[in-house]
Amino acid sequence: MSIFQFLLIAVIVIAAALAVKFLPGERSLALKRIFAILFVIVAALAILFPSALTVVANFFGVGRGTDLLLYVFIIMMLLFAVATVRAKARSDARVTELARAVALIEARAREERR
Amino acid sequence: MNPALSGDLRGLNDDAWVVIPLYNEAQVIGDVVSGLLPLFSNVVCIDDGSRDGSGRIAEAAGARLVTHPINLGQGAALQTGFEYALERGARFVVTFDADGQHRVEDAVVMLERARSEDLAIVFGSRFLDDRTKPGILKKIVLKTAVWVTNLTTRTRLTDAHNGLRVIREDALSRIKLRQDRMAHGTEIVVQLGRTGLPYAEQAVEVIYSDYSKAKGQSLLNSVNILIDLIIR
Repeated sequence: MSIFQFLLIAVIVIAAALAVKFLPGERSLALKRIFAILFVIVAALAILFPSALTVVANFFGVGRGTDLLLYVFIIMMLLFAVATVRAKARSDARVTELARAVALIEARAREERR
Repeated sequence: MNPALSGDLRGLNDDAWVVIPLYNEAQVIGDVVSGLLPLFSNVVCIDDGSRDGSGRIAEAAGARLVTHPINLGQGAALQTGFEYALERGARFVVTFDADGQHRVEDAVVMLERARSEDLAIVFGSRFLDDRTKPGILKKIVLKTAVWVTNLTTRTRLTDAHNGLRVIREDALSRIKLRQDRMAHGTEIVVQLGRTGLPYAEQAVEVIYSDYSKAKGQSLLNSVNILIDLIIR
């Protein structure tokens, strides 16, 4: 194992551990944790045995393992972007409800003072 | 107008609330409110986080004021106004733009029509007669918007993005505007159409003053309206 491979694996393990620790949600938490552990195992294998990644890439009709990695990366980024946009929309809707409630309470209080 | 008559008219309309979404219209909001008050006793401005003191001017002119702590968009302001009016037992809500492009007389006629014809919704339309003179580009955009709206809703309208509407309390309680800053003009039509309640369109005049022309919806905003209509 080269130093770079060691570093890569260390970074992935730390990132996965942090992500698991701060993931929100009760219901899907166990599933997310299983995915994170699987991801770490697969990533470590791909780092230690790059030629295995090329075999998988060839199976899907992609020339090199690094190319496959790039394609998967792009797809994951798109999914991440969509998930983030949706999460933000939900959060905006909550802020709207909150701000409306504040505005109406304030108006009620002001009219009572008159 | 003679004071006794206007007193009577105010009394006639005291079951109605005029809801004005207000965002940075300090120049004109005072006149808009004082134009409404002789005929409508209940006028509420929803100040959507204005930075130019519009809210204080509206209040000084005699309107009730509800202030969003942050800017939420016109659709959200309308929804706040609906909830405010329903809380106070409104039977009708009149939505009215803050920039002075609507005529108070049109609002009175629409409210009268909702009462006499037992309508839950009266939409204002600038295309039912030839009083309004929009530019050719604006006309194309608005006509396309209403065409797509009619395709995607159960309503048959001639002007979907007109801020002047009369909505009865039973229709109000069945709608909930969610799109914060998008084409709420469409969303309100979609949701009102879904109620299946009786509606009509009333010819109104939209006054394109230099002020409203300068502030008015840009062409880019029309692109937004169209995309919001298609992707829902």
